[in-house]
Amino acid sequence: MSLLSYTLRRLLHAIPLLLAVAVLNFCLIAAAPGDPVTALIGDFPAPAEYVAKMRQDYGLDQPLPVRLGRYLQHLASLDLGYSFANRMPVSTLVAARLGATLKLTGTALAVAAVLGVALGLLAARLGGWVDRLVRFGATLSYAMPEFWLGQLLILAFAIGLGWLPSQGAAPLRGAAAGWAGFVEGLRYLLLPASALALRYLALIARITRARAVEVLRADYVLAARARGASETRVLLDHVLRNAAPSVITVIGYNAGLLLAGSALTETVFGWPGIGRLLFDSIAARDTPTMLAILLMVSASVVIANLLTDVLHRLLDRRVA
Amino acid sequence: MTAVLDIDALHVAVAGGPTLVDGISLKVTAGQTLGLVGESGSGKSMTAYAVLGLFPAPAIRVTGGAIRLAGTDLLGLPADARRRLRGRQIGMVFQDPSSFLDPLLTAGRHIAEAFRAHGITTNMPSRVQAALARVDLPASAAARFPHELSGGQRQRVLIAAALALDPAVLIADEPTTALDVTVQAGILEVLRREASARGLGVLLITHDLGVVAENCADVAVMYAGRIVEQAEVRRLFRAPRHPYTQGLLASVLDPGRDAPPFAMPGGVPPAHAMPTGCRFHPRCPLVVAQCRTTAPPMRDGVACWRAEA
Amino acid sequence: MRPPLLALLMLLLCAILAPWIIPGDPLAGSADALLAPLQSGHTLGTDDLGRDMLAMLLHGSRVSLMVGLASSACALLVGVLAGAVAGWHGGWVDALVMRIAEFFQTLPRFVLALIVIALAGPGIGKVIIVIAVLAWPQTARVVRAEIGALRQAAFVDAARLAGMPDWLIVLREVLPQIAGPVLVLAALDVATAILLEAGLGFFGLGDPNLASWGAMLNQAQQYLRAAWWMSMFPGLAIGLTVLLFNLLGDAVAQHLDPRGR
Ligand SMILES: Nc1ncnc2c1ncn2[C@@H]1O[C@H](COP(=O)(O)OP(=O)(O)OP(=O)(O)O)[C@@H](O)[C@H]1O
Ligand SMILES: [Mg+2]
Repeated sequence: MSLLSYTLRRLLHAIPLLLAVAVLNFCLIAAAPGDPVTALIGDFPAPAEYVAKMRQDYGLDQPLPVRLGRYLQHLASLDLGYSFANRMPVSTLVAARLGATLKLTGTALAVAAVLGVALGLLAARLGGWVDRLVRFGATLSYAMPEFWLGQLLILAFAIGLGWLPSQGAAPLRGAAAGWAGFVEGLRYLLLPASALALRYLALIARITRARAVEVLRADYVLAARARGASETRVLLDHVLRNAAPSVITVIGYNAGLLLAGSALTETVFGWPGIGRLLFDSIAARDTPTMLAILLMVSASVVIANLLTDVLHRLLDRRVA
Repeated sequence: MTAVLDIDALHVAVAGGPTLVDGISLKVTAGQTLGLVGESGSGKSMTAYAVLGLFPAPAIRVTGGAIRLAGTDLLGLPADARRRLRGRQIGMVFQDPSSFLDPLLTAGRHIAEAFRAHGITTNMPSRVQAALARVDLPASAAARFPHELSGGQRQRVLIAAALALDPAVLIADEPTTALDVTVQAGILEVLRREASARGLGVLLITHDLGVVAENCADVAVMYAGRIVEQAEVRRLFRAPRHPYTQGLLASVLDPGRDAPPFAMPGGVPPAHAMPTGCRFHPRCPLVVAQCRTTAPPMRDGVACWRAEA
Repeated sequence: MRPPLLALLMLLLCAILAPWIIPGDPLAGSADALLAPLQSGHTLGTDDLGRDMLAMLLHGSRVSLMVGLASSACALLVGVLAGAVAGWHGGWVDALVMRIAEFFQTLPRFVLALIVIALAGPGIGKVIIVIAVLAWPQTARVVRAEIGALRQAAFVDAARLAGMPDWLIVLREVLPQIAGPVLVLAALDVATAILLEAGLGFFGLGDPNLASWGAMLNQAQQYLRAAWWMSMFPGLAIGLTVLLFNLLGDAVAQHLDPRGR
């Protein structure tokens, strides 16, 4: 089967999952205590005409299946409802926060992947106390809640040493332009990205080490050495390549972990992203925003899994 | 003729553990094939790994003797010099072609790896193609992944990679054991042809005496880490002198004979529980008291107290 | 395996005996606000409302362990049941159960739990149920795979010939064989659940009438500058407990497969 047809098939597989996620979302609205309109609007004194419009729009006088159909229709047109807490459509609200979250999670993911793979390879290659140290560190890090690690980092580097800012993504007076602004941005990014990256890094280092140990024992590595390949080449050409599918699977299938972590980390650092928005919307009982975020996060996980499978397939052609 | 590869009283042992190869000596001559036979576990592969300077476990190491390649003792060389000889001066082909090829690399990449390991990076496609042609594989095979090749084709790829840099010595560790009989013949024919065309010295490790008869000039018989008999092939087949060799030969089916093949009782003793004296004595039909206490020296091509009996 | 197990038992004992070790309501405030550790009889200091940190930690362990153990037990029950039915029955039942499992595995656990609790209101029972509902598929998958493989085993045929009914075969002959890997998952589930519960608490969704580690960290957030201990000790408690359960899982796994790792 070609990669293309595999991708298409996998895509077809993802669609019912996405649909099921949307239905679940609908069920949460329907099952929420009180009037579904309250669930849709949140605990806000909404204008009476809006409430009436919602009732009609979502057909609350209609039987459940019809309401589900209407709900899906709204979703299909990217209408995620209106947030009274913020006085703007949820889609606008979410779109404004998306960049910050992508920046944070992207940085954390990159740091975790690069360092995790490097540490895992190092541990597998060197063995001995390096290996024990990496494994010990990974076990320890994996048990640390991100939000506590965030607080510790703030205590140490922002409050104790005063080196880095502890809240927000940019100074309140506005970001500087050009290079200075970029460096400043990094200063704000460093602590939250580290807090978010650590557990993921531990996970990646673990799987990389485990796979690398296995591959280093493989016959084909012995054969490569018998051809005169140096240890560096063995590590890059054989170990890394053969470890990659498993590492990518672990990375991709734990996207949920990263997103959950980012909700917590953003809250600790006042990072103006989706996670912080979730925290605020829960505190304000802003239901439409909460549900829209749930929908987005679920969709991201489905898509991350899809991409993972395709990438896995691209790296290892043997998979049937 | 002088030997390209001269193994002299080689000892291999597990660190703090048993001795796996106990003082064996072999000479491989350029352009000729030396057979090394013996039951499973007798230390044939360990001998090969010692020549390469690679062992499957870090605890195994050479503990004595010399391995000379064209006169230079390899054991005195630093690790990187050792590495530079692998693939360039000493090629190796392994038993199971499926597990010795990286499943995620194409055949061509395996061959290119041999060149790159020795700093050759130009004209790669044509070099790979030439290497494939020598083992009778089409140029299109370069783009194939191992799982897309047959067992015989995989072994040809491994041979092409091993011979890519024209080494002086090729060690083939049971190159056909994992293959169908029909495929075996083709692989052996490639090895024979390349050996004679390039003046390659080959150390051919096998269990199969038939393979030895067809491919080798000389043969050494190994038992429990030692050489028990070494002779020119025809002579060994005509008149085996060590009881173990006799048993090995008798255990081969001979179509011209009605009697069922003889099955030697017992097996190779484990490395940690070697018998004293001659290591074959617990299984030997001709055993006498001396065999149990004193190891027989190699004399006139055979190591046996009862060789004249 | 010994030291983590011992530590876990100690922890469990502390949680059970908390009301006797430090009696009284840990959430009742006092005038001694924001005392640093070791001041005037408060070993770990006090929080912004003058509550003793040690008392809150000790009582908080009850919530964490309760949620961790109960949700893991529920997930275990559902997972084993679903996995056994799917693996033993095969066919469309198998396909259906696995499809459902896949769906639940796709859901982002933490965010979903947050929102469900935010909509349904806080409560320890709800938290346990939500976590269990999100955690069972992994167990189900493992059980299903193992049972599928065992179904053809000789001893199963023997039991069948002896006239044992299917459900009894599964219960008596097959389940004991797969107890190991399932136990590993259960231990890891406890760790995940404790982290999740702490996250809920940190988001302010814990039970307001019970002391919980996550809620303590939520409170600490506003006082980081003034009272480092408000963050340090609850975080340590969570990390250590999660670590112990992870180590327990690793130890069981290693015991089952000594070659591995
Ligand atoms: N990694 C290892 N550590 C310790 N001993 C080993 C290891 N690998 C092999 N041995 C031992 O070394 C001895 C020689 O093994 P070797 O592989 O050289 O035998 P062989 O003659 O090649 O057998 P075969 O025909 O099965 O390939 C055996 O007794 C074996 O048990
Ligand atoms: Mg061998």
